[in-house]
Formats: sequence, structure tokens, C-alpha cells
Amino acid sequence: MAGSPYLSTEVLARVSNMQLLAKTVVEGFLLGLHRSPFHGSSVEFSEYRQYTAGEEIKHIDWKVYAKTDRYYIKRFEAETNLSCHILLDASASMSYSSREDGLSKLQYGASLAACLAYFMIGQRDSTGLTVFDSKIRSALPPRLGPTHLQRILTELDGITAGGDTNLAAPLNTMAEGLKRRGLVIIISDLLDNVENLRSALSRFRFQGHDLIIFHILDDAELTFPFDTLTEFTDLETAQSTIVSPTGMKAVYLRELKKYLGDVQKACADVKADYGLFNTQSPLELALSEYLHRRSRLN
Amino acid sequence: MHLSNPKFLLGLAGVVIPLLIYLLTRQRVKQVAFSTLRFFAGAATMMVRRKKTLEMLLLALRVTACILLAAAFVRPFFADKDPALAGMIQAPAARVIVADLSGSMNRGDLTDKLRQAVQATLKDLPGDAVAALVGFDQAPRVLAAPTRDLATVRDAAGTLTPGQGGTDLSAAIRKASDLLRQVQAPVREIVCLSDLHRTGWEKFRGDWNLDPGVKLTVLALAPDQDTGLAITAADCPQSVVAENVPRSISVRVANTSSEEAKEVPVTLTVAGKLVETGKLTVPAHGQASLRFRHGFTEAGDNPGVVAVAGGDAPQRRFYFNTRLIPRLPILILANSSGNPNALDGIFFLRTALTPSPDSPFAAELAKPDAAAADKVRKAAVVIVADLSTVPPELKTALADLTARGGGLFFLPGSQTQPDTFNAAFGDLAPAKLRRPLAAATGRQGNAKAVVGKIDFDHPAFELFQRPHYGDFSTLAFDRYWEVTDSQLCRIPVRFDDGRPLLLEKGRGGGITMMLACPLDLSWSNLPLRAIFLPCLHQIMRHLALRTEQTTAFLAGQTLPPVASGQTLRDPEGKPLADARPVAPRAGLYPVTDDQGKTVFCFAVNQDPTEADTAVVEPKEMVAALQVENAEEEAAKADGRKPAETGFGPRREIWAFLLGALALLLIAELWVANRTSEQ
Repeated sequence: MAGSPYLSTEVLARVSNMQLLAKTVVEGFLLGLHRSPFHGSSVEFSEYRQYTAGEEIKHIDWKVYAKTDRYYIKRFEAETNLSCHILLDASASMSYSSREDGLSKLQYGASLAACLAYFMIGQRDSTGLTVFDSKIRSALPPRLGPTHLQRILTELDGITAGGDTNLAAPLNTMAEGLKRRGLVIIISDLLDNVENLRSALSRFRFQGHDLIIFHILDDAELTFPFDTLTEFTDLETAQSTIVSPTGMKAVYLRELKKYLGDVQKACADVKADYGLFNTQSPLELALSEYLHRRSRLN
Repeated sequence: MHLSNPKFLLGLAGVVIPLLIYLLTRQRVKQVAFSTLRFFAGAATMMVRRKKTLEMLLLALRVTACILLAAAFVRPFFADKDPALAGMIQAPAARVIVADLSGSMNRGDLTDKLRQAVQATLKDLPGDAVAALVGFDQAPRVLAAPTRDLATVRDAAGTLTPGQGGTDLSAAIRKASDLLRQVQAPVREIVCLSDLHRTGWEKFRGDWNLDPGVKLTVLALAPDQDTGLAITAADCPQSVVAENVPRSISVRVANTSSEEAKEVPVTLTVAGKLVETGKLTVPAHGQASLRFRHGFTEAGDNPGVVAVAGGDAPQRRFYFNTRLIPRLPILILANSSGNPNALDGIFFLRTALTPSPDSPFAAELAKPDAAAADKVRKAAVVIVADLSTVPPELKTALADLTARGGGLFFLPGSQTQPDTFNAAFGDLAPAKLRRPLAAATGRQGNAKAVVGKIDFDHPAFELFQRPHYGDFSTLAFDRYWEVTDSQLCRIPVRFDDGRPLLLEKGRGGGITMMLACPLDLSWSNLPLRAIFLPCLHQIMRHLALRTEQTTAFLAGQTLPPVASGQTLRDPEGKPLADARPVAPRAGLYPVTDDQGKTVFCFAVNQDPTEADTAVVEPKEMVAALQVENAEEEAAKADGRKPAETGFGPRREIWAFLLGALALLLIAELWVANRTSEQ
């Protein structure tokens, strides 16, 4: 997109290597920032204290010794305590795409997850990835380091859509496994019962996790641009129905609006940050959302 | 059902157009794999089903519209139920001969000429042609239905015999036009054979034409010799009240010859006795009138005949029966008894109706209670004097009185309440009362209202038309009733300000009248003026005489039914079997009781207009009835309708079809709009 500070989603769709994509998006995003509140946050100077016998001498600040003739240890901030869990919905409904370039909700969500992982590990936040549909398909626990990032990106590279959306079961399973409080990021189209969603989110919240919901929907799902007699087939249930879109559009948009309202209310009830993203939206916007949330955590 | 333009049935192929449009433009279902169907809220199937239903309805409407359009152009119609008109016949040519059988065709050798003309008209028909024969006087009759068997038509023509009826040329030609519609032929013709009396053509009102393509040929038949004298008009009262007053019996005699008829004896015979003989001189091709004055003295029937000497031809005789009514029964409904000392309206009314014992009126005063209903049933006229309302039984009796031809005379007075009066007599009285109006209102000083306009053509006032026969200028009115809703009334007398004084309205077979001023000296000086008595008597006679049985008929008309135990006989005294027979010829038709005594008599005459020698030009008839192609459009522009028979709208099916088409198109628009919204 000419003139846009963000990487367009058309480009995103053409980048097949997840690492390259994440690197491009995140670094481009960071360059665009005037001042990052997290710049060097994990390696900033903390304090000086006197050296005691037994400690490694590599931490002695020799410049201070030259000036003061005393041994001082330079203390830095320890690695972050934040443990991030990215939960990516890979149900069949996430494979829907109305775009000519074929960028599906799942691809968009995977790209977003890759960018987040790249960014968070770069910030030295331990990051894990869980892929689920009606059950947990794969789970990488939160870790630090480029090797772990590579594993996450490899996992995201090979992800395929399938299975029904059932938020309650995998999220509950996840919640049971998360002993350490952290940040839980859910990337999903949330096409499930809202009460199930509320129940699962409540459980995370009860355990003290902070929640960010990236609600991914296709542009066609939000605007219902169909204008001819159409037989719609449900990607998950394979049920089909013939619709006269001219008359149905109003009904669809009314139901969608009600559903989005319910979802937002459910998220608000559990104090989860909620963001609705069209697959047309640049990924940087999602990163901004994350940073905004992350700054509040600090 | 028959089709006027069957070739337009090809238009039914037009139904292919909406079918093609439907097939070419119908939406093909696009397949889309979608993330979820949860937001369709179950309405998808219903809406699709509804859309498909609407589309099919739309298609059906459009197909039906095409069918209706084609059907309207085909112009279907129902065949007449008359067996003579049933069935369609295919033929190269069709000709309907219309033969005049009216009384005037008895003149000279017209009958022979008529038969010969019919035979000649049949001769030049091509082989396999269809012919029909219609005879007519005042009504048409199908003597031979359309047929290829010309011998049948010739046989019917051989028996053609004129009667004594009148003439209606247009009705006969219309009947012939109806017969032609049952034949599909490239050449269709009507041949009218008649002496073409203008009076027989004047009944045509110009409201129809022959079908396009039908040719009308009119052949005028004239007698070889003149008939000489004939009565062309006559007048004699059918009912009179017993008064010692001679009545007029007048006849007008026409002379169709070229020689003057001098001192022709004309006799008046009443009840079989020669009463008077007059002499009449009638110029050549001219007319002259003669009036007899005769005082009828015998109560009941007075049958008679006025005969012009020179033969027994029906056009030389005028039959009549004047019924003498001893006294007219008049009932006065009033609460007052008519106090002579008070000089109220009832007193003046009773005194004026029975000024002497030999008065023609038998006036009776009655209170307006239920018991008076029986008296109403026996009265010829009922006067409602200064009453606001009457009991329901009495009101019903008053309504019955007007239904049987009696008269109702309303005299609202000082005690009359307008609202109550209007509620009680709104449907009986000729108008409604509004309020009493002082004459000084709208006039300078204390001027009184006077009579402003009198309709001397009204039967009750024609007597006063001549000078010195009544002075209405001395009447002065201080007050009078203002009336409303008088738009449908005849108003014989008005005040000088234009307001009605006397109103009249027909109701049932009778008449109701209202005088907008009571016979009270506090309202007017009417009861004291000389004109009051003769004027009241004339009004009463005018109101009463419709209750009497009509005695005068024309040949060809249907006579009224007679009571059980009575027998209707022809002029020769032979009983007529039919309950309501058509009088075949002129004469006196007595009604006898079971003992053979004559109780009533009908006077039947030949239509006097048959003696009228004026004729209509054949070209005039053709121009009026025949429609050329160019003129057809003009006829449509004039709003004239094609010739139709008594079956009325059965020819108008195409109009109903177009109406249905218009409604269908409106429905189509609505459904199409709904469909596009789906």
C-alpha cells in the first residue's frame, strides 16, 4: 500500500517464510516508533553493589575500580518474568478467505502470532504457542531464545485448518496447565457459543492471567458483500443453505452485530482486552494493541 | 362462447416471452464455502422459498397478462340464449331481410309488394348463402332463423301479413344485426323492406351502430293508390268525474289523396248509440280536426267510437272508453274538526271540496290514528292537513296509496313541527320543511308575497291558461314554509322570490304534492279568493285519476290481466284464452263476468302515427346505422357502442379482460418490486 507506514497484507500474503515475515513486520514496526518504552528494558543498568568473595569476576566494573580502587558489581535488570501464551485457533472456519490473494483468517492469525512471538522473544518475554481447534493440536511451552522462536515459527509455518471451533474444551485444558501467571493471547474468529467463551476466559482470569483477544474476521464476514443467489456451505459442519443475499444481508448484519456485542460484553466482563481485526488490517495495528496492553502490565 | 377475431389467438404465442425472460434472467446459484451459517438465523431457507414463490407468481402473472391481452384482442362473446340466434354458421354470404308488418303496410297493394320484394331479395343470393327473415311492427320477430335452406325463408315470406301495430325500424334492424353475428361470412347484409314511416324511425336514439362490414340496404315500398282519409291523432278522457260538464272528444284526420275531401261525415257513437254526426272538410295532402262535446252521464264504462265515413279500415276509426266516476273519495287527515267560527284551514278545505251536494268529491275528515288506515285504502286522495306525524300503520297505508296510483296532498300548517314532519314524511312528501318564513323578510316595507310564476302546462293549471279563467294575482301571502330538498320536484307554482309554493313529485304509480302555505287566513288570503275553489278541485282531480284503470291501448300492446271469474273477449265477442293477451287489432275488448255481463271495456286503436304519411329517406337510415372503417373510429370517439342485443355486457367481455389486465399489471409491479427486495 503506497504511502502506508505499515506492511500491506497483500505483501504479507506473498511472504511464505514466517521468520522473514515476522522480522520484516516487527523491525519495520519498531523503526516507525519514535521511542519505544521497552528499548533495552531487559538489559538496563539497575545498581552497583560491592563485590563479595565467590562471585564471578566478570561482573566487576573495572572502570569504577580504576576510579575508586574498589570492586563493584554492576547489576542489570533480570530477564523478564512475563510468560506469554499465544493461543491460535486453527479450526476449519479459520480457513475462510474472500480475498483474491487467498489470505485466510488462519494465515493472518498465524502471521500475527509469528510477529508477536518474534517481538516478545526479542523483548525477552518467554513465549509459548498453542494451536487448537476443538482440542489442543500442539503446544509449545513458554521459553526464551532464538531456538525456541524458530520452533514457534516452524510450527506456524506448517499449520493447517481443520476441525470444529470449540473454544471451551481446549481453553479449559490450557488453563489447567498454566501454573504461572502470565499473559494469554487468543487469536481466533471466536465462532462459538459466547457463553462458552465467557466461561473459558473467566477461568483464565480467575487464575490471574491477563487476556488479550485478537478477534480475526474476514472482510466478507463483516460486510456480507454477496449479491446473487448463493449456496453457502459451512466450513465446519458442511451444512449448506441457499440464500438470497439481497434480502438476507440485513438479517445477517443484524445477527452479526448482536454477536459482536455479546462477544465484547463477555470480554469486558472478564476484563480481557478485545480487538476486532479485519484480515485487511495491517499486522502492525495488532502489535500496537499488544504493546498498549504490555505497557499497562508494566 | 364465440370469437370475433380468432386470428388474434396467435397472440397466445406471446406467453413464450415471459418464459424466455424468466429462463434467461433467473439467478444461478453461486457456491460459497462460508465460515459459519449461524448468522442466517434460520431465515435463509424461508426467504429463498419465498423468493422462488414470488418469482413463480411473477411468471404466472406475466403469462396470464399475455393471455389476457391476446384474449381481449380476440374479443370473445357469448351467444344469445334465443334458439333462433344460437349456433355459428359459416357461409360465403349472409343476408337478413327485415319486413315491415306494421298497420300502415295494409294500405293498397303494399302487402303484395312486400312479399314480392322479399322473394326478389332472396333470388340474387349466391349458392350456399345464408338468409333469415325478420318481421316487425313495434317489435321485431324472427320469422326464419339464419339458414341455407332458402325455401324455408321463401315459405315464411309467403305468409307475411301486416297487422295493425306501430313501427320501430331501428329495433328491427338491430335484431337483424344480432342474427348476422351468428353467421361468419365475408359478405353480410341487411335488407330492410318498409314504407319507411318517419314516426317509425324517430324511435332511433343514435346510441348504436351496425357492426363494421355489415351493409344496410333500405328499399322503400309505396302503395299504388292513396288510402284517402285516416285518423292521425285523437283524444278522449279515459276517466272523468261525474259533473254536468261536456267533455271533448277530438280527432285529427289526414287526407293523403290529391283531392280535397269535402263534407265528410264523422260520427260519434257512445254505448252503441249514435250521438252526433259532424262534417269535416280535409284539404288534399292536408289535415283537419273535429271536436265533439259530449256529456257522459252513465256511471262506469262509456265505450264509443269516432268513425270517418268511407270504410271500416282501422285507420278511419278511433275507439275509446270513458269511465265516469260518480264522486272522488277524498280523506282529510287532521287533528282539527274544522271550526266554522275559527275559520281555520280545515273548515275552508271541507267547504271547498263539498260546496254543494252534487260536488264531484266525497270528502271525509278523520283523525290521524291507526283506524284511519282502512279509510286511506278506500280513498283516491288523502290530504295531510297540519300534521307533524302519523302512526306507522297509517304511514304504511299512505305509501300503499301512492303505490296504487293515488294522490297525497300535504298541507303543513301552524302546528306542524318541521323536524318531526321531515322524519315522518321524508320519503312521502315531495320536499322537506325548513322553517316558516315571514313574507316581509327580504321585501321592502310590509310587502306580502305573491305568486310569481305558474306552469300552465301542468295538467292541474292548464285550465287557467286562457284569459279570464283564473286570477292568481290577487293572492297575498303573509307567511309560508321554506322547503328544502326540492331538486327532484316539479314546481307548478312559485312565489315572486322564486321559492316554491306548490311542489309535486311522482311516487310509485301516484303523485304527492305539497302546498307550502296552509289554508289559514293568518298565513294568506288564498281561501277567500275566487281562484281557490277551482284550483283546489283541479289539483284533486289531477291527484285522483291515476287510481283508475287505463282503458286505451294500441294494437300490439299487451292488455292488463282480468280478475278471476271474468273473461276478456275480442271485438267479435270471442273469449281470449291468454291471461294477458296481445291485442291483435283495433276494436273494443269487453271484459265480462261469469254471467256474461260486461263489467269493463278496453279500447284498442291502431297506432295513429301509422297514418302519418311522412317518410324517412333510405340514405338517412344507412348513414345513421352503417359504419365504414373510417367512421368506426369516429363512432368510438363519440362513445357510441356497436349494435347490441338485450344481452348487454356479454359483448363487452374484451373490456372486462382489459380491466383484468390492468389489475394484473398493477399486481405484477407490486410482486416484481417485492421480488427485487428479496
